[in-house]
Parts: sequence; C-alpha cells; structure tokens
Amino acid sequence: MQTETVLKITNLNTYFQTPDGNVSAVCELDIEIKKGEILGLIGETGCGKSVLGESVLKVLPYNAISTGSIVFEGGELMGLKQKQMREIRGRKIAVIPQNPSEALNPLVKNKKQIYEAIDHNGKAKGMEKKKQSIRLLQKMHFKEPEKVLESYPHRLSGGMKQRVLAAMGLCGNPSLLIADEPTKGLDAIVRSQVIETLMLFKENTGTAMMLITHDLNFATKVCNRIAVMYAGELIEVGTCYEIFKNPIHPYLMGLFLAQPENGLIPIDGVSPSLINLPQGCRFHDRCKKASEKCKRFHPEMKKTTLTHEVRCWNP
Amino acid sequence: MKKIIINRMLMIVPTVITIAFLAFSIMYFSPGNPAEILMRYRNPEGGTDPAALAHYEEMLGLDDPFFTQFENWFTGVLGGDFGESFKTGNPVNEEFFYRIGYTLMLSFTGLAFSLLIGITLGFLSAEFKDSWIDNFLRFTQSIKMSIPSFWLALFFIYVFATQLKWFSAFGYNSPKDLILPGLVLGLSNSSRMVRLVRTCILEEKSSGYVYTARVKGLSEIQIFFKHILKNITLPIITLTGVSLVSMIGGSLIIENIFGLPGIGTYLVSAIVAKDYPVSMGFLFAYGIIIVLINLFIDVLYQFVDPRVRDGANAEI
Amino acid sequence: MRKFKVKTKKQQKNLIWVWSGLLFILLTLIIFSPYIFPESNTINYSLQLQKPSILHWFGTDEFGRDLFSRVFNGMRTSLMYSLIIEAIALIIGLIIGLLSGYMGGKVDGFLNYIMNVFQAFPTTIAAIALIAVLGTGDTTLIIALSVMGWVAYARIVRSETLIFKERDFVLGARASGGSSAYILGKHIFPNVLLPILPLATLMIGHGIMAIASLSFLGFGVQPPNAEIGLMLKDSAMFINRAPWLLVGPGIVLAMVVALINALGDAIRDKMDPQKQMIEI
Repeated sequence: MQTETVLKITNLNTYFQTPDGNVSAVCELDIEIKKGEILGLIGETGCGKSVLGESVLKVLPYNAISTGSIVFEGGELMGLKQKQMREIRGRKIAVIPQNPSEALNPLVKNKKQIYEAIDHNGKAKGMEKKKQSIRLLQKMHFKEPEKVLESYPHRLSGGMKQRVLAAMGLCGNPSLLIADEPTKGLDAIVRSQVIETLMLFKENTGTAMMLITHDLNFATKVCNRIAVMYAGELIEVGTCYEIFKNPIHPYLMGLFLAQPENGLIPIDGVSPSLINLPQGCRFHDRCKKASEKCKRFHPEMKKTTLTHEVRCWNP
Repeated sequence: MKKIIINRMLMIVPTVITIAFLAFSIMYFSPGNPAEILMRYRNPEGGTDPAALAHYEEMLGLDDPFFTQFENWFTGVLGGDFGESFKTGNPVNEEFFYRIGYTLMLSFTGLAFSLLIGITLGFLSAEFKDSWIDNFLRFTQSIKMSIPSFWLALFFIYVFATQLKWFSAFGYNSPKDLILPGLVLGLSNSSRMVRLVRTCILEEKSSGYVYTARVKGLSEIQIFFKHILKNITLPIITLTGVSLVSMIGGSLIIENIFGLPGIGTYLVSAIVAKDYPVSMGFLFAYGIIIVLINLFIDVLYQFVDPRVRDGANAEI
Repeated sequence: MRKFKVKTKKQQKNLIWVWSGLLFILLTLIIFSPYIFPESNTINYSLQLQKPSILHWFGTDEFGRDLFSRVFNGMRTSLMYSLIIEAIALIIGLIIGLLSGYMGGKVDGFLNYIMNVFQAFPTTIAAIALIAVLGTGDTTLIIALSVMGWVAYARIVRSETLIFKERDFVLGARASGGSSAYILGKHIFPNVLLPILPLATLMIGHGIMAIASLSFLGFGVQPPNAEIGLMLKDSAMFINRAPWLLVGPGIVLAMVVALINALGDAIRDKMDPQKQMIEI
C-alpha cells in the first residue's frame, strides 16, 4: 500500500553551542510520517525528542545549529528563511505546545490570542473573526465559547487551555500536528481529556501527527507507529503492535519494565551526557546484555521486519 | 483590594513617626547649642549676651524635655508648619514648596532618560544576545556601574557645557538646563533597568507562550509588541518606582553639582550651615516623599496584573 | 542564522587570569602607596596644575602635588574605610539575619519590617541624615554607611538561615538538646558565611563609591586625608583650567571598582553554576 509521505527527515543533526562544548541533541536521525498517521516519539526527558520537533519547525534557540534534510509535503524546509517558515507554521503544521498552563500569555485575553492565529491564516474581519473563533472552540467541545473568549487564560483549567491551544491549531489547514508532551504532569482524568482533544483534532482535520511523549502507555494507546529515542538518536522504530508486543532494544524493554503495572523496575544508571557521548553503543553502560563489541562499535539501525527497525548488536 | 491598600497605608504610620524622630534628633543630638547658632544668625555682632541666649533658648523651647520638644515640632509639621530657617527667617515650608518642583522635575527627567536608555539597550542586548553588541553593551554597563555619578556629571559638564557649549554648566534658567543633569542622573541609575529589561526579555523569549506564538506563525516583531512587551511592563513598572526613589536620592548630588535650586542643594547647605529647622524639615520631607512613592508602587502593582486584580482564581 | 561565538570555559578562565592580575597590581599599589609614593603630599607651588607628563602621569594639583601618587593614597583611604564599613555591616547583618531567620514569628516580622524601611531609603540621603545628626567627620562617615549597609547582608543571612534551620543536621542537634545559641553558632553560622561571599565582594566596590560621593559633597573624609571624592571636589574647581585632573582619579576609581565587581561576579558564578546554565 502506497500512502503519501507528509514529513521525511533524513540525517538530521541538531546541536547546541555552549561554553562547555557542543551538546548534540539530535544525531543522524531518519524518520518519516505518512498521511493520517500518528507517530509516537518516545524517550526520557533530555533525550532530544522535543528538539526534534523544534528542528522541524525551526524554532530552536539561537545557539542551535541543525543540518540534514527535512522534506515536508515534497518541499525542503532546511534552507528556508524564517519568513518562509512562518508561512508553514500555524498554517500547514499545527502545534500543541507542552505545558499548557504556560503556553498562553497570561496578560492577553484568550480572544486576542485566538484571533492572532486566525489573522495568520487569512483576512477575517471583526465579527467574522469572532464567529470563527466560536466555531473553533465549539469544535473543541467548549460549552460556553463566548465566555472563554472574553476571559484571561488564568480562568481556564489546564485541560481547557490545551483545548484552546488545539483550537488555534485548527484554524489553519494543517497536514501535520506536532503535540509536544501533551500529557506531561497531568492527572489521569485530564489525561483522558487530552486523548479526547487529540482525537477531536484528528477528526476535524485528518492530519498526520507527531506525538512527542515520555509516556509509553499513552503512546501505545494512541499511535500507529512508535519511534524510541535515546541520547539523541533513534534506537527502535516499529508499528505500535510490534513495539508493544515485541520490543527488542534492551532500553525499550527496560522502559516497559519500569511501567507501574509491570512493577516499576527502574533501569540502572543515567543517560549519558550529550556533550561527551560514550564510544560504541550509547546504552552499553546501562545494558545488561552489553558485550565487548557494544563498548567499541556504534551499532546502526537494522531492519528486523519490514516495519521494525532497531539499533542493537544483540537483538 | 481596598483592604490591601488600607493595610499598606497603616503600615507606613510607624515609618513616618520614625522618620520624624530621626529628623528631629538632628537638632537635639547635634553637638553645640542651637540657640547660640540661631543667635549668631539673627544678631551677627551681638557677641555672647547670656540674657539674649536665654531668650533664644526659651524661643526654641530647649529647656523642655525631649518628648515635649518632639511633640511640639511634630504637631507643627503635621499642621504644615516646619518652623523658620535660622539663616533667613523664612518659613521652611515656603522654601520647600518653592524648591520641590525642581527636584521632582530633575528626578522625572532622570527617570525618563533611564527608561529610554534601559529599554533601548536592554532590548538590543537581549535581541543580540552573545553577539558583539551584547558583549559591548554589557562591558560598558559594568564600567558605568563603577563610575560615580558626580564624576559622570563633571565629565559631561566639561564635554557638553565647557567645550561644546550646548548647555549651561551651572544654575537653572530654562527647562533646557534640566537635560544635562537629567541625562547624568538617568545614565548613572540605568544599569539596573538595562539588566532587568535584558533578563526579562530573554526570560519571556524562552517562555511557553512565546513558543506558542512562534509556532502559530507570528513574526518576532509581532511577538515582541503583542506579547513580550505586555509581560515585561509589570517588572519595568515596579523597577520604575524603585528607580524614582534612587533618582530622588541621586538628585541630591546632581543638584549640587549643577547648581539647581532643588531641595538637595538647599539641604546640603543647610546642614553645613547648621540651619537645623531646614535640615530637619527637608530630611523629613525627603523621607515622606520616598515612603509615598513606595506606597504608590505597591498600590499600582495591584492594578496592573489581571491575576492580582481579579483576586480569586476562579475558573469558568 | 546570526553569527556569534560562544566563549569556551578555557577562554573564560584565561580572561579571569588577566583581570585578576590587573586587580592584584592595582591593589598592591594602593595598599603600599605610602611606601611606594612617600612624597605624595609634598607641596610645590612651582608645579601647580601641570599637564600629565612622564614625571607626573596624571598631572599635578593646585598645590603642585603629584596626582598619580595622591590617587593611590586616596584609594587607600577609600579601600580601608570601605573594608571597615563592610566588617561592621557584616556583623550587624549576620546577627540580625540569624536572629530573624532562626527565631521566626514576631521577631522575624519586626526585623523584616525594619529591613524594608531601611532598604526603602537611598543610601545617600539616609547617610546624610545620620551625618547631620552626628556631625561631619571620618568616623561619622563610617558609622553612617555601616548603618545603611547591613540590610543586604541580613536579607541573605536570613534566607540562608531559613533553609539551614530545616536541614537534618540542625534538626538532629536540636533533638539531642542543643541550645539555640549552640545551634546558631556551631551549625548555622558557618554555613551562611559562604553564600554572602559574593555580596561582600560587591559591597566593597559599593562602599568605595559611596565614600567618594559623600566626600565629594563635603560630608565624608575630611582634609588633610586624601580621598578620591575629595580630590575630585577640588579638581572640579579647575575644570576649565585643568580638566585632566578629573581623568586620573576617575579611571583608577572605575578600574578598581569594576575589577572588584568582576571578582564578585566570578565568585557568584563559581558558587552557583546553575545560574550560568539558565543562560544557555
């Protein structure tokens, strides 16, 4: 079955220049997202998964440098100027930012913040803008959209803020949604609301999604395909079923064992510093199966099935 | 809201009494006999006539116990009567109201310069973080912080008044004469503003809502004016209040150098001349002005932030 | 993408060596100035208001005295007084901060209120008020600036005390029956000393500037003692005839203060590496 590729990333490297040396947050990363697909990007905090999203959008901090190729809907994004990128952001690629409680400007009315997104997507006037905002909010299941429009963000709960943010993303014609840690720090009830929000979004647009999260359970519930990142590189990619039923990389297996329902068994050690990456496999010093080869040589991604790839010497 | 304001107003009462107390003790604790000083001003050739001295002592109420004297002075002050200058015999409050205008004008000119300098340089420094512009600005800031304002004043007088003759070096004839002293005052008190604006902008730039605005497709200019500016106003307003206090403090030195007829110049000469009623009254007035500005900042702060203004954190 | 260069740790360290060397040279000149420039007070009317030359780097003043040597003499006074002021302010600040943080409750409330009041007033005005009460002179100057200087220390000591009060070793000492004085002296006091180090360094520069400003107004150091502010007060009278007299004292004062401040910043960065991390 041949489906259209929305986003194709090849050999992406992103690093930050700091006084301590270069921090390579994303390393030789290849991945693609097909139309209508939900790709989950999993990894612990600081493994570079958010940086990947930011690299695609080109909203990296000023001291970051990224190289490689990012093809979005057939067009290369890498060489684009900020001005050209703005045509894509908010119109073609929608984003649900992480930490909804801080993602809205506390001193600007919700209405104005939504209007900005509408303005960016065309020239709706006065009343039309308001009508459109109400429509968007209704799509995100708000019962009293007028009240939301007229208030400041601190009046909204975390889940509501996230839906407002999603509503902003809706007003373009996005073919890709990047949701950055949408469940981070949320309790169970709100989390199910988030899943609902994402599904609502998908219903409304039919877009492809890149779901960045550290929450394995959440990812396996929502995604079609899952990519696992460790210390800046992909270590395992597969369909949701493959990842869940047949995890290969010791790190991923460790992640499953660390889930509450499996007894919260932690993985020993800590992730390597992204400044001084270890020689060989980046996971070798935490890996129980590590051999001499793992310490010396860096493994490449290998296909085990048509859709399942893994970066390990001892699969 | 009202409660907070009333509470803050009550809080300043002990401060005001303490200031009055300190101001009053200038005359009481100073070495030397105030009556003698007064006598010498009133009657320069009078010599030391014990009867005349007793008369002046009586007039100043120096024989009364400390608290009676303090009470007399303080009730007078509360009624707007600060006594009369030893030197000129003019009522102190008249002198004060004549001069306070100049001090406030100078302070506000300084404040305007400091805001202008602070926001411009802070913005540049943040926008070009870690580039040569930022490094240069930060270097000059640290140098400027190490130069006392009076040196800067002398330097500016030499360059702009003596050499270029753009401004007059001394005295007050027209509002134009406030530019140079105001510039010095603003410049030497702008470091904190520059740093605050820089840190605030950088902080806001890495905040969640700026990220949202970016991914919404807004340009950096739009983001600055529509989002960041609003959020940095609050800290800037707070610092503006604090700056106004340091402007008033700094104006004392600047007035003296530029010979402006403000309360600072008069206070310094009064202290040197041991003109106690003037020193007492003016120092008390300085204290009250500063207390009032601080009160004003506190209250203003309550109004600006919608989160504080709303009070309750009720959700819809 | 904008061009910029990130200084590596090593480059930063080299830079620190350069300016600490400079500070060391300046401090040596200042501290040993009476021995290096023994003739700084020699009056010579034939050398009045000379321009800077090889013999007199900063020129000469209205009494024909060599300004270069007088500047270092003056800085010696400033530095000495500033250190005395810091010492007194530090002691008051430590006592009040420890009491306020440790006792809590009403004592803390009251002391906090006092600190707020003190902090609300500009140092110049408050110091002048005190000088007006106590009379002009070097001792009064030191008293006035010490009285205004303790608040900054007290604030830090208070917040550090609040943190250490809840630490296990203090709770343990209290549980095993240690008296408050013992706990404060033995356990909390040594721990709050380090956090005030950067502030103490910065305050030396502040002190020098405050002394200079008050002396310039005539409320500080009194002649015949040499002091930068006092010197500039005299130089100001000759601003038209001998403007160069302003340059030397200004440069030395600014350099010393700037270098001391840089030292304070370096200590702070060293002690609080997180602060740098935030900037990334």
